[in-house]
Amino acid sequence: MIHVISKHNAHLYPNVLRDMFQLRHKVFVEQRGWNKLAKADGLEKDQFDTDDTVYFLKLDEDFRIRGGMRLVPTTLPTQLGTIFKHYCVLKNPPMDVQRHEWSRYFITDTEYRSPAGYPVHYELFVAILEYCVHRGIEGVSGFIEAGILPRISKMPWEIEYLGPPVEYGGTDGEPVGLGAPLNIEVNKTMLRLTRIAWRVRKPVISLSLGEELTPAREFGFNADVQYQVEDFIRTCPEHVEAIGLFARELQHVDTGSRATVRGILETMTREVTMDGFDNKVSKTPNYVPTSLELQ
Amino acid sequence: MLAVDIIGVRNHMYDLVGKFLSELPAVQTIQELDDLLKPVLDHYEIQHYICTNMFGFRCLQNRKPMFGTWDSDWVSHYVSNHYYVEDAVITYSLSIREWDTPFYWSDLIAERNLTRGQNRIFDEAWDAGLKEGLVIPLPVSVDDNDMITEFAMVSLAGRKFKKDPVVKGILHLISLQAHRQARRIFLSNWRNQFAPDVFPISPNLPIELLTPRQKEVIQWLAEGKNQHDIATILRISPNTVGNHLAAARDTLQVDNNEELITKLYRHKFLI
Repeated sequence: MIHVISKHNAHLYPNVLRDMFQLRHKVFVEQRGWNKLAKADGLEKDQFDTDDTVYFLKLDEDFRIRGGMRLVPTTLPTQLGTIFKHYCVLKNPPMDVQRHEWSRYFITDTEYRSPAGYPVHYELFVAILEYCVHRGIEGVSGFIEAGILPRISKMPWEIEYLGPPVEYGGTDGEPVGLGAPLNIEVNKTMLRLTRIAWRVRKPVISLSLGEELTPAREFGFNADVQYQVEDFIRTCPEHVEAIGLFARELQHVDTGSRATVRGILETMTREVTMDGFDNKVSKTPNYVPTSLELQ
Repeated sequence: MLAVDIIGVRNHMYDLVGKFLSELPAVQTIQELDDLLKPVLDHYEIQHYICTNMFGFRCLQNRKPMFGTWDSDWVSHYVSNHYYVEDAVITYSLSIREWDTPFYWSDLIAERNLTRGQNRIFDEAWDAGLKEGLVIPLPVSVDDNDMITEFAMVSLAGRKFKKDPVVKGILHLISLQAHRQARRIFLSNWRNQFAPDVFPISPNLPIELLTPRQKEVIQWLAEGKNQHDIATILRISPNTVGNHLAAARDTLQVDNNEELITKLYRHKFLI
């Protein structure tokens, strides 16, 4: 499953985030030779890793990172807006609340397949697109390496190049790479077509409850449920265990009951979101149902 | 003053590209695509621009041109002498692993040990006025094991075409987008069949003229069976098998069984 880690639930992932920065150091500095990113502590963290950065990580059944990517709002400093700005010769890089930038795409094991049989990048991109569509993000931009440009061309996406492919690097012992700045429009149709093209039918986003609370056997949730849960964690972090227990119950019940649990989960989180609009609704759930109650 | 001129030239260049990219989505036919490409190619003095489907694209036979404007004399000469068999440009682009890198002909000649035949092809291209060229590999799709399953290639050349990193980037971008549009046109018009030829050399094989029995015989031949084996399998006389094969060779205008099998393989009749 793809875990969406933002500032709201980052405290639930202390080890995973550290692993991710270490892994990025290994991939980008040690393997690809981007020496400028080298850090003494072995954690590759740059100026774009801020509080507002959202990380999408593919974690396998043992919570090992198989791949990842980050999303940065373009209202903050971005790669295209700063270090790659001079490459955007055809069009200025977007700067808008509804536009984000993706970067630091890495996959540790290209041969890994999820239990459903998908390679890492299928789940990762579908999760990002689903997240964007649900949050009203209309476009993602980024500096993409030229090797995958023809493959991106084949996807049913609306692509806009901000500049032609250019060579970068070549200083400080770094290798010369070739990449192009581009912008991809995101919308519901595009998400649907991508799902069809890759045959990814089921939801791929995890509830993103952290290392302790995420159940061992995970289920995918739609981006709206994940959003509600994230919102719930933001507003009442002290009750995050309740959601964790609920999620854990999901693996014990049959499909019919699972739908009920999902319903309860949605209602519970929605109640919190609606707090203040309807006083009758209690602010937080003060009981935790057990699996017996669900039958 | 010179700096201002350079900026002016660059802006004109980017205007041309911007115009090309903005008008591209409206293009409906390959002819329109070629027409749209023309002003950009003229600007860089490129006389020969050919985008070829090397393999894997279902609307075209392997090694068939998709779009472009090319020097007919040179292409006729190239195809009739079967230069594609040993052309360094093709063999090199099929062997590289860094699929993202476009390369110049002159770099290829300087860095690789080419065979005498490969050098001769470059010499003849030079004589035909194609003095410097750029090759842009386009790996369209890969399978789960990262092996290329569909591959196209843009080859362009010109009399006054010169190495320039900015121009290289622009041509790379244009080729990527033009190929994307061409692919869409082919797929929307000829979804599950071969598109008609854009160039008269090595036309599509008239496979529909083969009889079912001839197809059956050819399929067994491709499996490595000889005339007697096929006769036993199909319970007919060896002479009849020979007759079927002779008729098929005649229909498809090939000289021998090897050529027959190769052509049918390339035409995706045999998989």
